[in-house]
Amino acid sequence: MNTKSSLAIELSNKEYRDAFVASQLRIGLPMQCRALRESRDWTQPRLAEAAGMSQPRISEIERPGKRKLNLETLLRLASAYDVALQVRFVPFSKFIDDDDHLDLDNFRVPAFEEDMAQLENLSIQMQSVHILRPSMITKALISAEQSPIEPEERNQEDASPDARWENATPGILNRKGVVYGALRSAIS
Amino acid sequence: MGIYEKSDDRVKWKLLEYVSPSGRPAIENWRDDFVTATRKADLDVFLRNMVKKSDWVPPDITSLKGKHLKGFRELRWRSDDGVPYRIGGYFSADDEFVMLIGWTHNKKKYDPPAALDTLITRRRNLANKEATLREYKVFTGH
Repeated sequence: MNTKSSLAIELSNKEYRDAFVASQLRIGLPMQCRALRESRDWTQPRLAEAAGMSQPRISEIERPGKRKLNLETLLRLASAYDVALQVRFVPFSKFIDDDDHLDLDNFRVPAFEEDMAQLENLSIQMQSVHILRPSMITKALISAEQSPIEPEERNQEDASPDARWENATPGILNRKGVVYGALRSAIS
Repeated sequence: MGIYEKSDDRVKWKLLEYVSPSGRPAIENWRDDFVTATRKADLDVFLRNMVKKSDWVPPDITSLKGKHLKGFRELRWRSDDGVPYRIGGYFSADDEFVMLIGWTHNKKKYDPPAALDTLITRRRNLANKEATLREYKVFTGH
């Protein structure tokens, strides 16, 4: 590409941007397929066996532009590697950004078994997300508001307005221990 | 949107292109002459990927064979018409590739026909300082 025609200018042309998406499948994806195989230290025959394809076919799949990759082929490769295949419609900004950040040198997609630990972590994080549900926060705040005021908090409420301003913490938020305890009991 | 630069960790290569004595940039002009957007996009996508790959290995690149072609390499991909596209050049440093000329070849029919001779001539022109190089910019989405 030249200095006059940045990618943004090229993409403003409908014909080019359609072609760019197609080129990612025809040129970019074979390079990605090869990077994935190399990241596993697999040979083409090994992948061929796992995917139920011939080695020459794998060789063609990995050559930019040599072969049209259809979904069926990609699903077989994904199954051979025991990874997921994500196909979805996205805006061009995301498409370009994802491609910009694709690092073929470190293109590593863990197989399901290796990925299990990450799935378990994700599950724990999903449970944590419940803490942030508005209804639970509301319930916790109400609970905190209704709970008796502790002596040290009373001292602050009795302090002068200036002192309270310096502390800069409204009473209800200052009582984070009470809120935290209510949140814990809400999710347990 | 910017360009891929070597200061970016993801970018492993700097691409240079031949500029003729009359100031014509070889690869940019070759690209401009492509009749379809598909061929332009294929070239762009191929180079976007290549500059981010540390190891340049077959089938993306191979050595050219022939007595007078020692040291020359060709970058390789196919466009949607099934025709092989090539960029001939050489490594000028560990992380630099000089692109001298682009061509297609279909069943041993080269376009331009004298592509390999031109490859040699252009390298000689550079050695004689009759021609120059300039960076070939690969644009990012940023």
